[in-house]
Amino acid sequence: MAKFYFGQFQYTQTFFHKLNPTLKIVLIFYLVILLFFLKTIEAYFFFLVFGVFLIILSKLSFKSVVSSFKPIIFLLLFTLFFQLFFTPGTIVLDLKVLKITKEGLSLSIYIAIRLIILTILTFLLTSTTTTTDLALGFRNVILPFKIFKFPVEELSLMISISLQFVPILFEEADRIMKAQMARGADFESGNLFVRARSFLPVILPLILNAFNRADQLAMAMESRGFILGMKRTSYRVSKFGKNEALAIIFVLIFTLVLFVLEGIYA
Amino acid sequence: MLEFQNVSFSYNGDNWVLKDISFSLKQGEFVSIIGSNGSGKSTIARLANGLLLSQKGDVLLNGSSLKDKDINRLAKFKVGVIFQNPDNQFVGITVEDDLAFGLENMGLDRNIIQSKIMEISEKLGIKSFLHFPPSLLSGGEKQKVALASVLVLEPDYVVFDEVTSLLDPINRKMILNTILEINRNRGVLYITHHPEETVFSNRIIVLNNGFIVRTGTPYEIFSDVDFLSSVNVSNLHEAILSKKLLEKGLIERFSLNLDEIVDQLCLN
Repeated sequence: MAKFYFGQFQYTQTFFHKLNPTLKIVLIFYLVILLFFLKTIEAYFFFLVFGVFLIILSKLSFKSVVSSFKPIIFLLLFTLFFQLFFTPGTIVLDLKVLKITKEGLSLSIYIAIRLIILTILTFLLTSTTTTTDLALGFRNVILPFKIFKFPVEELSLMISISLQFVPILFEEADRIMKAQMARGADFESGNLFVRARSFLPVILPLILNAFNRADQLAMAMESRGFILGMKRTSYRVSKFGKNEALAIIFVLIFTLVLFVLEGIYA
Repeated sequence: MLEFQNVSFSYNGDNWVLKDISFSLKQGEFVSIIGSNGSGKSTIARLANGLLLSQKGDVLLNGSSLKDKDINRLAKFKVGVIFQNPDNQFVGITVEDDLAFGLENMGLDRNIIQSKIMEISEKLGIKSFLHFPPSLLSGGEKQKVALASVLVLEPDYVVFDEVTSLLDPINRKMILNTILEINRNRGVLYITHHPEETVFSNRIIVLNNGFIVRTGTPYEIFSDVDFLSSVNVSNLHEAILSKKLLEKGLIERFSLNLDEIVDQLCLN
């Protein structure tokens, strides 16, 4: 089976996949903000269950869910360590050098769940939305800023081009690495510093090539009539229908339940 | 008509990459440009639709200079340019988005854009991968998409800047056939390193050190084997073979046709 990288789009036709990308971004953003307002552990757990439910609903592969947590494990452990041992309060376990406090224990559980939920939400968004839809959704989200003369079209085009360049740059990095390995380069031996330094001959040509590509792309864009700041039409449009209305109602009900839980256990 | 009138161009103001270049391209005409590396071929492609502006002389589209802002804008849609590496030309995340890009710049309505995309994708046989990211396509398919993204704008002239140089022989042939097909009602300016791709041309222009050193029919250009080698331009295998056989007295007439060369050899 192919290796998953975080948030890689997974093609299945579920309710969440079909949802309007603009609304999806707005709702995910709303849920992230909502998460930071929660105070009780019960509400946090309910939110976590809700996140897992959304993953099941979206029919995302279990393997991809597991691998999506790999990049945050270090961050998670690092944060937990500091919260657990360096939060002042009532000591529950004294290890002489390090002390675990009641407040530290509770804070680290809160932060761990918060980080896990944040990862689930981000994963949900990128795994159920194509890059085209993500770019379109982002464009629509920032569209109101156009009245302040914010370069909405340019920014969304920039994002869409960057997203499109990601696989190309990965391929190129792989090609450069193989070329350097063929000439005896070793990327796996030595300590962290030595290994990081051995990547320099990969990073430098990659950056230079990226500049070269950007230059050629700019020329190709201009040769097809693109002028920065010029008014242009948009081929992609967002549709709003029954599914979107259902999603809003669903999230509103979820919010209501969260507030009830907060009220009961606060 | 697309016309280069005594065009000279320099990137830095000192070294002239192109010197006093003059030629024209009519609709339906196929003009090839050959020349060694650094002879100024790609600069001609960039001058043709106003990406670059000449310091001396003028590039004219239907008699109007591309130095005029409005004509320059018009030239972007009337003179399409396709570059060597398709990967560096894709703007859209999917093939469909990429085809839409130029049409969005034209300010066309969504429905018109859609119908034009459908029409060109059907014509070039790329309809099945409209929703694919271009990065997933093969080299030949990518170049076809790059071609479609320019042709969808319905240009009168198309400039091909070494478009087959990254392709294998099968894909090269496929792209060439497509180019010949679109040449029926469009002017084609074909820049290449491969002499065998220019045999269909109405005219071939040979560039050397920024100068046009010769213009002629394929026969006129390739039959002068010594001249082409003196300007470091590769020749057709048939031309080299024919010249060597002629020098050895094994054939009586110079020919670019392999069958004719073989017939002459058999007769002797």
